[in-house]
Amino acid sequence: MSDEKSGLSRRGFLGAGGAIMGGLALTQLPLDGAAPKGAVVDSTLPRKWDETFDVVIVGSGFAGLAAAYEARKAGASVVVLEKMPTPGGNSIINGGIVSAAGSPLQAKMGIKDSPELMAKDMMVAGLGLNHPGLVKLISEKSTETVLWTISELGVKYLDNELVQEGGHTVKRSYKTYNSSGSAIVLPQLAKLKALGVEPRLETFVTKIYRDKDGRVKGLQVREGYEFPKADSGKLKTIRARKGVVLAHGGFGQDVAYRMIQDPKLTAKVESTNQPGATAEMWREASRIGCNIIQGDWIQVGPWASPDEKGFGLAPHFAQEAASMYGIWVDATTGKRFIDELANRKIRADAIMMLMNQGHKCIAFADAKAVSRLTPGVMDKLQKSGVVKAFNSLEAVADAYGMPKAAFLETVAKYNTNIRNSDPKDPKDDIKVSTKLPQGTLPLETAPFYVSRLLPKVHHCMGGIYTNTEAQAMDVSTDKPIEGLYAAGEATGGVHGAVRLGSCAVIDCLVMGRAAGSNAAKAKAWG
Amino acid sequence: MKVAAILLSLGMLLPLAAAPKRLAGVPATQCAACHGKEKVLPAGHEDIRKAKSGSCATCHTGETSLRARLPLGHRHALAGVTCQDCHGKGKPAAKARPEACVACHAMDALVAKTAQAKDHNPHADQHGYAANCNLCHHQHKPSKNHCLTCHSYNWPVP
Ligand SMILES: Cc1cc2nc3c(=O)[nH]c(=O)nc-3n(C[C@H](O)[C@H](O)[C@H](O)COP(=O)(O)OP(=O)(O)OC[C@H]3O[C@@H](n4cnc5c(N)ncnc54)[C@H](O)[C@@H]3O)c2cc1C
Repeated sequence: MSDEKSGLSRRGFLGAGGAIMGGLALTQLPLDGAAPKGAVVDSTLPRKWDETFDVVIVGSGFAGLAAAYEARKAGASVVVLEKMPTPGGNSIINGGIVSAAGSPLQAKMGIKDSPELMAKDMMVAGLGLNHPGLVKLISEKSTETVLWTISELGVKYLDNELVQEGGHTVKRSYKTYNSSGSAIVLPQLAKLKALGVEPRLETFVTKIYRDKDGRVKGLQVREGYEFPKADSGKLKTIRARKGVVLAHGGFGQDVAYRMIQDPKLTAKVESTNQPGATAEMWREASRIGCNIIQGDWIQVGPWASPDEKGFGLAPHFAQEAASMYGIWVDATTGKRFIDELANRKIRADAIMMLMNQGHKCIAFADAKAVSRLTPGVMDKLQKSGVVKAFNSLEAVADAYGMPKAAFLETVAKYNTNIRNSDPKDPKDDIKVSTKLPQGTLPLETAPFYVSRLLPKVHHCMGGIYTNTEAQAMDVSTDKPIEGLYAAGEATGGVHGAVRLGSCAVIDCLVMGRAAGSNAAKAKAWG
Repeated sequence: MKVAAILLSLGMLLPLAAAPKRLAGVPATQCAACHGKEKVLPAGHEDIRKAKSGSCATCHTGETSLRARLPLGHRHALAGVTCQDCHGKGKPAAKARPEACVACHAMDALVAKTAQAKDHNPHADQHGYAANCNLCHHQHKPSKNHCLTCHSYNWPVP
C-alpha cells in the first residue's frame, strides 16, 4: 500500500512538474563532479565559481587570440584557456598564406581584384553551401585585416610575392616571411602578454554552463590537464560575466567523431593537424544547444604520404611532378583511377574508397617530370625514403606488387595519348578537367620515381552556426545564445563544401576579432 | 598470491615495488634515502655516500658520461642543484618555470650548442616552443623529443 502510494505520489509529482523540472531533476545530483553523462538539459550552475572574468576564451589559435586581443583592448578582463602544453593549435603550424582582396600588394603588382570576386571564388568552391553574409563580411574585411596584422601586430610578409592558391581566380594571398602561421601567432601572443594576458596552458574546458534563462554563464575546466588523459588535472569553474568565446578549432585528429560525420575517414586516414584537434567541444557545443552545421564537409589533402608525418614534403612530388606531369596509379590493379588534375576532394575521395577496399595508390613520375621541382626537394624526399627511385618500369611494378602487364599497358597508353597530341596542347583521356600543362611529355626517362599516396585530413569546413556578429545561434530558436560567441575553424558556414587555401586564416582573424569586441560590449550578468 | 609470485619472479611487479619516494633536501649521493635497499649503482661502483655533490664528472667523462644514463633530475641533484633552485621556496609548484632553467643555461648558448644538430636546430624552432624547456626536458620522468609530434627529427634529448 504505502509503496504504491509513494509510487503514485512520485508519478504525480513528475506528472505535474516533470515537463519543467525533468531535466533539472535528472542532473541535480552529479553537480561539481564532471561533465554530464549524456546530452541532457543541464542548467545547474556550480554552487560557487572559482574565478571570474568578463570574457572567457576557449582555444589559443588565430581566432581565440584575436578575440582576446580585441576584448582586452576594449577594457574587459580576459582569460584564454588552452588544453595543450603549447599555445597556437593548428594556427602555429600552418602554412602562413593569407588572402586579401584588393590589397596594396596587388595594386603594386598590377593585379585587379575585389571583395566581390573573392566572395565569388569562395562560393564556387564551396558549392554555394557558404552563408553569403559571412563570406561577404570576411571578403570585405580581408585587406584591412591583413594590414592590421602588419600595423598593429607587426607581422612580416614577403614583400614582392603573392600566392594564387587553387580555386582563386587571381593572385591574392600574402605569404608570411617564414611560410608559417607562427609569424602571426607569436606576435599575437607577445601583444597579449604586454596587456597582461597569457594563455593558460594545459587547461581543458570540459563543460559549458548554460543557465535556465538560456544564457551561457561560465565553464568547467581541468587545470593541469595532461593531453590526452581525460581525467587528469583538477576540476575548476570559471564564470564569464560578459561572454564565452568558443575558438576551439577543428576535429581533424578525432577519428571517432569524424567517422560519425564522414565514415570514409577511418583511422587509416592520418591528419595534417596538431594532435589536440579533437572534438570534445564540438560535442559540448551541441549539447548546450548550438547548431552544428555542415560538419561532414571535411577537407582531405590527397597528396600526402604514409612515409612521413603530417603534411611533410611528399605533396610537392605527388602534385607538382606526378599529378601535373605524371600519373597516379592504383597499385592493386596497375591502372589509373582518377583525373590527376581534378580538385582535392574528388581525388582524395577516390583514394579513400580504394583504400577501404584494401587497395594501395601511388604517384608516379619519370626523371624529366621531377626535374621541374624546386631544387633540393627530391634530395630530401629520397633521403627520407618518402620517394623511391627505380631503373625500370618492371622494377616499379615489383616494388609495389603491381600486375606487371597492366602497369606497362597503363604507362604505354598514357604515353601514346601524349605522343599523339599536339605538344603545344597535350591531351589525355583521363586528365580532362583542365588543360594539361605545357611541357607534358611521355613517361619514358629513367629513373622512375614513386611516392605512396595517403590522403590526410586537413580542415573542418563545418561547425557552430553563427551570425555576422560572431554570436552562436540556438538550434531551436535560430536566435543568438546570450553570452556565447564563436569563431574560426570551430564555426561552420563560411567555406561551404571546400575551403580555398589561404581563406582560413582570414576567416579566423576577422571573426575572432568580431567575437572578442562584441563579447566585451555585452551586458554583464550577476 | 600465486599470480603475484609468478609476476614478481618475472620482474613484472618490480617497477611498482621499486618506485622511489622523492625526498626533498636529501643530498643526491644518499641513494638509499629514496631508493631504500634497491641497488641503483652498478656492481663494483665506489661508495658515493661520502662523495661531494658535483664530483661525479671527475670520473664520468667521455664514454662513461652520465648523460642519458641518469634521469635529468638526478644529474642536476648530483651537480648540487637543489629543489629550491628550480622550484623556488616552499612547496614545489607543479612545474619549474623555464626562467629557472635559463638562469644557468643561457638560451643563446643552447642555440649555439645545438646549431649543428641533424635536420634542424631544436633550440631555434619557428613555433617558439624552445622557450618552454618543459616540453622536452623532464627532471622526474624520462625526457622526450616534442618535435616528434609532427616531425621525424631524431635527436637524443638529455
Ligand atoms: C598544416 C596546416 C597548414 C595550413 N595552412 C594554411 C594556410 O597556409 N592558410 C590558411 O588560410 N589556412 C591554413 N590551414 C588552416 C588553418 O591553419 C586553420 O584552419 C586555423 O589555424 C584554425 O584556427 P583556429 O584559431 O580556429 O583553431 P586552432 O588554431 O586549431 O586553435 C584551437 C585551439 O583550441 C584548443 N582546444 C580545443 N578544444 C579545447 C578544449 N576543450 N579546451 C581548451 N582548449 C581547447 C586546441 O588545442 C587548439 O590549440 C592549415 C592547417 C594546417 C593543419
